[in-house]
Amino acid sequence: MKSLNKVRIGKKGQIVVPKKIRDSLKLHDDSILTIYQDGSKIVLVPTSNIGTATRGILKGTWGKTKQEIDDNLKKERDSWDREFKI
Amino acid sequence: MGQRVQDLVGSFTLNTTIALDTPFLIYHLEDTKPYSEKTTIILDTIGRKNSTAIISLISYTELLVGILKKENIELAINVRAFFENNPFINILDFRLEIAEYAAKIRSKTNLGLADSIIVATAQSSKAKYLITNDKKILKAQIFDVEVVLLDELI
Repeated sequence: MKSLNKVRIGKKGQIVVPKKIRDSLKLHDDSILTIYQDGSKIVLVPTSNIGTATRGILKGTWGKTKQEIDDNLKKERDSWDREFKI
Repeated sequence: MGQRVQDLVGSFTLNTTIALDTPFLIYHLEDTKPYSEKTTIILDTIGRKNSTAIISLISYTELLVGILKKENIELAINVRAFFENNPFINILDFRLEIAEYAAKIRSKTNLGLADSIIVATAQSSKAKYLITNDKKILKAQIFDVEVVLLDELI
């Protein structure tokens, strides 16, 4: 469910995560969030959801199929030994 | 959730260090099913339990090669920021201690250089598990780190 809120950035760049969202995600003081830029969006992810939030974020980078991804991975891994002629 | 994954993540604590090899990271970031279902559970649990994940500089390099081949510098910067700002995923430098462990591992198992460095990185950070999907790395089971194949979790 999406929750739309407007927040203002403070003098030192701080923002307040709205209480409704904090309660919904069980965030409290000292909770750690990961923050990253996704194009024009700023994404804040609670560390307890970091896997869910980052799954598939680089889809299509290493290959379209598992076989293609595995082949590229193997080529890359084997290249260390080839490059150093071990 | 499969029993094996449940057992694995059930053993994670605040003090558990888990080493992640490149296939783990790429399957996750590519959403390669059915592996990404397991990588998601593992990463969410690491975050929830404040455990520590480590990756070798080798894996970081391998990740970046795929991105830079797409000539996507912005994405590479974002990936760097993702790792730098992530409180529970650490990239470990290739330092003297790891070089010496890697040489020992390679001499005993004949694993490739990169594989040996990855096992050595896990070993030097006292990781309990090294999660990969590369069967060759099972040769490193003779050392202290437990090698877990993603295929075994499916």
